[in-house]
Amino acid sequence: MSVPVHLARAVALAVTLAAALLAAPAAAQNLTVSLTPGATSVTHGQDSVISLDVRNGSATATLSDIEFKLPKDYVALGGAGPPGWSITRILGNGFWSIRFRATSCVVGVAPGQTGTFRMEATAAGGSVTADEQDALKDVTVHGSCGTGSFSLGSAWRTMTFPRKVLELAGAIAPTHGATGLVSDVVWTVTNHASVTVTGVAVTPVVVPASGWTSAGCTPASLTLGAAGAASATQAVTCRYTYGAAGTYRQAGSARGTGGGGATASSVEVVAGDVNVAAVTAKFRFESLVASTGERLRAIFTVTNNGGGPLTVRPPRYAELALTSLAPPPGAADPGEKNVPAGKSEDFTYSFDVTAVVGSPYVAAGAAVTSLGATNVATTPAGTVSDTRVEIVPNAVVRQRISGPPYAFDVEVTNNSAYAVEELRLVNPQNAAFTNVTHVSATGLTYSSVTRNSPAGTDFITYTGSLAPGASAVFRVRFDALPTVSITTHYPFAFRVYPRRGGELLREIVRTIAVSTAPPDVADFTILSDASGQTLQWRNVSTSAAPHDGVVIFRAATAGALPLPADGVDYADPANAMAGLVYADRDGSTVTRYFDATTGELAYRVCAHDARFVYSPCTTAVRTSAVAPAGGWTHNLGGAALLVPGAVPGSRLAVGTNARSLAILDATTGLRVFDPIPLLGNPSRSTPAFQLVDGRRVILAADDAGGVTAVDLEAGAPLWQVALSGEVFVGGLTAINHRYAPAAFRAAYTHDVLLVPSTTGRVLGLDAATGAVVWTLDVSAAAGKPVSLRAGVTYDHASGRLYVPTTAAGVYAFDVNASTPVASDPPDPIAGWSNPSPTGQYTLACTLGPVATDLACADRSGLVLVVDRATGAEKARLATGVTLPATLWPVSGASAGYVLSSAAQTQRLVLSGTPATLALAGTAWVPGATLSPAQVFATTQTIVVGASDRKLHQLRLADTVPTGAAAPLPSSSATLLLGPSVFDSVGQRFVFGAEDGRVWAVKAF
Amino acid sequence: MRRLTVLTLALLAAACGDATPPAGDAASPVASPAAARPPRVRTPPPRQEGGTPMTAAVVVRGPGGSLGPFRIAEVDRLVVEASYASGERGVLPARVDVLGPRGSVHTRLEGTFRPAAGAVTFARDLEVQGTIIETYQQVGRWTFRLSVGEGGPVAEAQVELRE
Repeated sequence: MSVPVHLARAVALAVTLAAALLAAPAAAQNLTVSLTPGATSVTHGQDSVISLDVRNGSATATLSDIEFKLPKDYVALGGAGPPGWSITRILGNGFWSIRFRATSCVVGVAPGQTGTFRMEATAAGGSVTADEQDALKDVTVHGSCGTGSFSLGSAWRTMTFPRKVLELAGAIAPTHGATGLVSDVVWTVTNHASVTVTGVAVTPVVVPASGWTSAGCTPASLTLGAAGAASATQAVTCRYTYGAAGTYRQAGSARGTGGGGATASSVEVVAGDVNVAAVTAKFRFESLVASTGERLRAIFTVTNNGGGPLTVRPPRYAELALTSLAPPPGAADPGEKNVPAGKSEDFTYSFDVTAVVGSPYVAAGAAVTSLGATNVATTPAGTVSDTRVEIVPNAVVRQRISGPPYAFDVEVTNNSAYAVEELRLVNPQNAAFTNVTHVSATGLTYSSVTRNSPAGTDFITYTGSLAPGASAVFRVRFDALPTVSITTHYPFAFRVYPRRGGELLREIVRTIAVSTAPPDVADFTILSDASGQTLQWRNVSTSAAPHDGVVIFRAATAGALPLPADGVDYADPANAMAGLVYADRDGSTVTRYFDATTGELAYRVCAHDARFVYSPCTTAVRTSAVAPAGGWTHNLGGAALLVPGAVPGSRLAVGTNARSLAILDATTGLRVFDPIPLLGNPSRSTPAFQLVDGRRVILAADDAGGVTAVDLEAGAPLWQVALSGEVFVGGLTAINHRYAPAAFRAAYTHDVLLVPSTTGRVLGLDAATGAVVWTLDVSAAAGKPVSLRAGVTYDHASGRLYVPTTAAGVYAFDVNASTPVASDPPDPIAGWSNPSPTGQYTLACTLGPVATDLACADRSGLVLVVDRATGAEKARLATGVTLPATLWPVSGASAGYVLSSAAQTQRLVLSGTPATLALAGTAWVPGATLSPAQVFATTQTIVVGASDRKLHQLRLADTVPTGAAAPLPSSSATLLLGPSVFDSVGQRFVFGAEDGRVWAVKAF
Repeated sequence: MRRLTVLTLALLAAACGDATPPAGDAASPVASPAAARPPRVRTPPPRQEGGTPMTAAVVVRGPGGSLGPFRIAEVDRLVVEASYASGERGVLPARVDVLGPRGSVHTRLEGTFRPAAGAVTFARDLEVQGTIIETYQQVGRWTFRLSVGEGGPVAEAQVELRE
C-alpha cells in the first residue's frame, strides 16, 4: 500500500509525539521533593525555616540549578544549598522565590543522591484563628549537567507544612552543676492568632530520657489572649532534679485550642543544655560564617562544677574530630590549666576552613581532667560562605592607633559564581563608632552614606560589579571609638546584594575588638651559662585581656630590639622577621625558652591576646651576659644588693628591688619556682630558716610593711602578711625555738620573728603563720618617739634582745618574761643602762666573741663594746667608718671584730684588761665602692665585692688582700656588687649586683 | 591576608603621619621581607584629647618638704610626688623609675592616676636611711622618671645626694 507523502509526515509526527508522551511518565518521577525530616519550623508571621530534600532519581543527569517559590505572603530572607551551592537570586515578584545553583557540576546533586535546600523566610502573617497548612507555589529546575533531563511530576504540590500560631522560647537556670542539681526551664509561650487560645500546655522533651526527675510544670495550662493582648504571652516553669552526670537537652512544644476548636500549636524548640557533672565542656566558634581558606578561632570551655580544684588537659589538635577544618601549620596544642571550683577556663584553637561554599564546618573533642574525661563537646555547625570579609585591623588599642579619625580597611572577596553589584557596610553602634565616612575604595565604587537609619545605625553603600573571585577594599573612618575597660567586640554587618537595589543575598557579621592591651609577662629572667640562655617568665592573664601567647625578640642591644605590630601572628611562618626567635599562640602556657646562643644579648618578651594585640613590651626587656667559667649568671631584673639566703647545694633565695624573691637552684642557677612577689623592696637580707616543725623557709621583710615566708620545697608563700603603717628597713631576726632558753620554750610553741619598724615598734610574729603575737613599743620604753632602721639582735643564751634606734641609743628587752599574747610583750631588762642615749644606729649590734659582750657601731663609726646584761661600756673606738654596713665578731687568738662600709673594711682587735679595741688593718679599693664585708671563719678570710667588678678576698687577721676574682663581664665600667654567700657544695661564691644580675663564681 | 595586615598598618601609619616609634625602636637593617615591616604604630607620649594640654611633673622632697640637694646621712626618706593631667579618661597606670647615679634602675614606684575621680597626683616614699642607698653610699645625681600608661617618660626630676 502506498501512502501520500504529506500523510506519511503527519503519521511520523504523530508517532514522535506518541513516543514523547510515552516517555513522559518515566521522566516525571526522576526528581523528588520532600520536607527534610524535623528541619522545617514555621511560625505564623515569624522568621521561619523550610528545609527540602531533593532526590535525584535520574541515571545520567546531575542537578545543578533549582528554584523554589514560597507560599503566598512569605518573604524570602536567604538560605543555604548543599555544599558547593550558592544562592544566585531572591525574587519578590508576587511570590517570593529563592534560586540555588551549584558552583560547578562536581558539587551538583548527582544521580542517586539527595541534596538539602534550606530556605529562611518570614512566614505569612495576618489574621488567623488556628494553625494553617501551607504549600510551595512552584519548583523549577533550571539546569543540569550530564545527559537526560528532569521532571518533578506533581507529587510535590500535595506536600504541605504547618504554619503554627504559637511561639515557644525557653530559658534554663542554672545550666551547670554537680549531681543533684535542681534547675528550672522557663518556657515563654506567645499566641500569634487573632483569637484567644485555651488549654495551652507545654510538653517538655528531655534527652536523654533518664537520669532526671521532674517536679512538673506550673501552671499546667494557660489561656492566652489574642495576638497583641498583654495576656498573649505567658510563662510556664518546669523544674527538674538531675541525679546522674551528663548533658541533658531541654526541648519542648506547646499545644492548645484555637478558634472553632482547631489546633493551635508551636514548633518544637530547644531551650538549651543542662550540664551535670563535676566537669563539663563546651565548644564554640567565634564566627558561624567563614569562607574557604579563612582562619577561624574556636573556644573550648571547661567548667568545674565540683568543690575542689581541677587540672585540665584540653584536647590536642590531633584528638579533635574536624569537619571541613584543618589546624594551621605549626599549631601548638593548648596547655594545661588549673580550674578553680565553680569557675570556667577557656582554651583557644585556630582552624583553617578547607571546604567549599555551603559546607558545614564542625569541631568536637573532649578534655582530660584530674576527675576524668569531659563530655565530648561539639560546636554548632558553621557554614562556609561565598563571601569573605576581613577588617584590618580587627583589634585595636585606642591609644595606639593614629587618630581621630580612626581608619579601618575592609576587604571583601567574592567567591561565588556570580557578580556582586552592591554591598553595604552597616554600623549598628553609631554612638560608639561615630560618623562613619568613606575614605577610599577599589573594586567597587562608593555610592552613599546613610546615617541614623534606623536610629543608631549608619551604613555606607558601594556599587559596581565585583566579579567572581575578585576582591574589593574599602577604607572607612570614624571620628571616635569607644572607651573600654575590658576588651569589647563590636559587630559590623556586611550585606551582599547580587543586583543593585535588589534583594539581600547574604549578611555577614564581623567584629572590631576595642582592646585593652594585655599586660606584659611578669618576672622575666635570663640565666646565662656555658650552654646558652634560658629565658623564663610568668604569663599574666586577666579577664580584661586574656593571655594567648608570647613573642620573643633578640638583638645585640636593647635599643635594637624590634617591637611587634598589633594584628600580626608571628607564629605563622609567613610573618618571620629579623630578630624574631620564638612565637606561640592559642592560649599557650609556655613560660621558658632556651636559646643556645652565648654572650651578651638583649631579649624582649611580649604577650598577646587572641587577636594578636600585644602588651606594652616595656618591662620584659633584659640582657644576658657572658657566664663566668664554671659558674653562671642570672638576670633577675631588679637591683640585688642584699645577701642571698642559701641552703648549700640546694636552693638560693635572692631578694630584689623588683619587689620579688627569686628562688634558684644553687648548682645550675635555674629558676626552680616563679619569683615570689613582695609588697615592697626587701630589707637587709633574706635568710633561710628551719622552722621548729622542720620546714625550711626563706624570710623577707620589706619597706611596704610586708613580711613573707616562702616554703622552699613548695616554692610558694607559706604566708605573707601586710602590716599597715609599718615600714621595715632593718630586716628581721628569728628566735629559733629549739635553741631558745627553757623559759621561752615553755611559753611559746613556735619560732618567733622580730621585725623592727621605722614607727618605733618591734613586731613579734609567729614564724609558722605570720600572725602578730605582740607588739613591742620601743618609743614607750624610751619615753620619746624613736625610729628603728637597724636589725634586732637576739641572744639565744639569755633570751634578751637588743634594739638600736636611729637617735636614741640601744634598748634591751627580755623575751623570756613575755608570753605569746598581745598584752604581754617583752619587758625592758631591769638594770640595763642605755650605753649611748643619743647614739644614731642603722646597723644591728653584734654579740661579741666574749660571751658577755655586745658590740654596736653607730653611724659615725664609733664602736662600743658593752656588757650584755647592763649596757656598761667595756671598750670603745672611733673608727671613722661612717655609715657602717656590717659588724662581725671574730673569735680566736686575736678576737675582735670586722667593721665594713662602702669605703673600707677594718679589722679591730679586742685585748687587755680592762679591754681595749685597736685597729689591726684597713682595706679599701681605690675609687671603688665596697659591698658589706662577709667573714668566712673556716677559711680565715673576708670577702668583699667592689664596684671595680671584682670579688676581693682579704686575710681575716689583718685585711691584707689574698687575691681577687676576675672582673665580671659587664657593659658598665663600674658596677655595685652585693655581699656574697658561699655554696660549700658547689664551691661557688654567689652574690647579686645593682643591675639585677646574680653571679655564681667558682671559689678562687 | 597577613601580608595585607602589614600593608594596611603601613598605609595607616603613612596616612596619619603619626607613627613615630618610641625611643630605641629600630627597624631591622637586614634586607628581607621582614625589613619592609613598619615600626609598630604607637604614639607616645599619651594622647591628648579634647584639646586639654598634657602636663606632668615629678617633685622629690626631703625632710620637712625641702627640695635637694641632700646629705645622704641626713635623709631618712624621700617623698616622690607625681602629677599628671590630660584629657584622657579612665584609670591610668603610672610609674616612676628611680635611677641611681650609675644609671641602673634602683626601684620602680607605681601608682594610678584617675583623672575622672580627680586623682591626678600620687606620692610614694623612697626609704634611704638603713637601705642599700645608704650602705653603698650612693651619692650623686638620682633621676626620677614618670611614665604613664605604655608611653615613654612624660616628666623627669633629678636630685643630688651628697656625702
